[in-house]
Amino acid sequence: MRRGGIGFSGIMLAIGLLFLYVPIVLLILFSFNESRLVTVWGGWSLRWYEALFSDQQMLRAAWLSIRIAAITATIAVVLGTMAGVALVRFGNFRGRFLFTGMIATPLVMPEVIIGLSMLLMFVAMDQAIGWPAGRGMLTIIIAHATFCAAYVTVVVQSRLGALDRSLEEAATDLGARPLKVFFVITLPIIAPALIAGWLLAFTLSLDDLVVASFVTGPGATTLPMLVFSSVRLGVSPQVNALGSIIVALVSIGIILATALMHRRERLRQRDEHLARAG
Amino acid sequence: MAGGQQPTDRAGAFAEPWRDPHQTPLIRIERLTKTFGDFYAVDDVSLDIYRGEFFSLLGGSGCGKTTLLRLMAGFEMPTEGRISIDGVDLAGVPPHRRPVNMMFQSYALFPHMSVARNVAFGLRQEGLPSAEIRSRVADALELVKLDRLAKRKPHQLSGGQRQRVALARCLVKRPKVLLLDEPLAALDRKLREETQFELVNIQEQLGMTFVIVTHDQGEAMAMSTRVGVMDEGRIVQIGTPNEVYEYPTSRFVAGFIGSINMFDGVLAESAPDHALVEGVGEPVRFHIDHGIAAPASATVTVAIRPEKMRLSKTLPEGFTEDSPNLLRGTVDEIAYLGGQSIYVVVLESGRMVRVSVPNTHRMTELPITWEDPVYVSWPAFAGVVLVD
Repeated sequence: MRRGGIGFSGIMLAIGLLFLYVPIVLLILFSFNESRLVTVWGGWSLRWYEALFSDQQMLRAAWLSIRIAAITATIAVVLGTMAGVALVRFGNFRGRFLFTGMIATPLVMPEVIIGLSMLLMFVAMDQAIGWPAGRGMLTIIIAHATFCAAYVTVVVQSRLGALDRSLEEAATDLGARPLKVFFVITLPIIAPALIAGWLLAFTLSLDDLVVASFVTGPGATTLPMLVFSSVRLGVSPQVNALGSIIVALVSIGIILATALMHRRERLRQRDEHLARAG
Repeated sequence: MAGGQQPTDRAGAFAEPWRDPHQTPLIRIERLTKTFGDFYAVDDVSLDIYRGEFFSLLGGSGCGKTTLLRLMAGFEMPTEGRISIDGVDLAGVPPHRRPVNMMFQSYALFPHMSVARNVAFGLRQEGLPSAEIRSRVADALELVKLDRLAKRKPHQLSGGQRQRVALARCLVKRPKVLLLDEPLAALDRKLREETQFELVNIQEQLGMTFVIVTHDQGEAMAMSTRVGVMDEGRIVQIGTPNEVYEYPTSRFVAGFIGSINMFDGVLAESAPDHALVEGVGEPVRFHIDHGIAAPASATVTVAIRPEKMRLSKTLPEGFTEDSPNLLRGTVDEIAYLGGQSIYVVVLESGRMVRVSVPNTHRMTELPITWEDPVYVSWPAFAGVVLVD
């Protein structure tokens, strides 16, 4: 690196960082704005945070979104793990090609199409077998779990593919039945991938506006839907406050995760040192 | 190289159950074939292994030795043929119910379990009381000298220690047969030699039957009671280390184990107590001190180990210029290996012969050196005649 002088790359870095972070900084800044007008500074205040926490509609939507995301992520991890295991371990089963295609489709299909096709299916099912009756939280969960499972499958598949097959064979050889091998050996070893998949699915579900808008019914308004509709009526500084809270939560999460990884890395290095020493 | 190392023949010290027709083998493999598509990984293999043996499957990569081991462990299902252990046919018996355990080349230690839990894993599957599990695990760890490290995780161990954990994890189950897939391949050379002897000691101490897969002929020779040499899915020769080294039955085995000089020839005289082979492309006759089971004028190969040949500047005693078992040439290369030197001699025809000379005296100057014209001679018992 060159000392003294900022240079071209330094300037480009600064521009890049500004481009990424100025909007977020402004969002946080204006969440403490006294003024009712979003773009005019009127002094410091916490009134929009107060307003946010007393807004029952907003809180209900947030709680609904979190519940949907948690349930979705759990279902997606179960389905995605099963699909991943089938793809990696079952060899060239019949219909594998079709199965792979079905897994990949939600990853590349526009959300509008997913949402629309889901809606059509739910309506048809309601008419044909009476389940799911009406639309709401349940239909959102089903729709979200469907496309989130695809992402989890990809994560699990790559982790399983890298897993040494002989670990499972060794467990079998030592007398464990196949199902036990899966739960006692395979699952604990691929656990990091399952956690990553769960978090990914949670985020995707929490974030989703399009699919949820299609398949929801009266009474089930998720947070993104509420924010989007309230912004359409005119941006309220309350949304800034909500945005700031989310940014804060995400930042804390990232900092914790990084610290944890650093600690693990240090421990691992110490262990390796120990192993070499004897 | 087996030619350099003295091959220890452990079979001599033991009863040799494979020579006793009244013995029943522990493992009986009958006409076993395993194909992957068109590829014959194991091709019509029949093999008997007896209780207490240390049996090596030796061969290059892709010869089917690992597939044969995996067939015994139950990870592959035979295309044809059968395997039985202790008289029980293993067809349809899944790997977790077989009375065998396998030690994997990668060791396959469970990364999320401590050493003690790795070793205890197999016993837990049997549902033994925890007090018994604890004492057996402690015994096994003591046997492989790892009792101090019971609480460590696999990634906190060195390669040699991991190998011991893998061994202890199999031994603690007290299987009828222990299968070892290249158990020493991942260790460095010095550790490998130490571990060889340790493995043999443990096997003798426990009286267990070991079947080991290896590509290292020195390893197979040093440890085994018998060696099965494999090539292209078939077992080409089974015998004690001594037999496969001294009496190879094919060009492949002769060339694969140790180094050897091979000459083409035609059987000129075939008597019950001796034979005479006329060299082809080489002005030499081979006098062999035993009879050959082949008709006269059959084409044969005569194979002679480098350490059985002698090198001299003058005509060796008892030889005349036109004696059999004598070659003339010039020294082309000398490799000084400490305990012995390998001389490469160029014959008049241009072909090379390797002769190994033990360095029994302490000297700084070699009595025979580069470009010296020399005689290469060998006794009548040295030549092995191969008819393939």
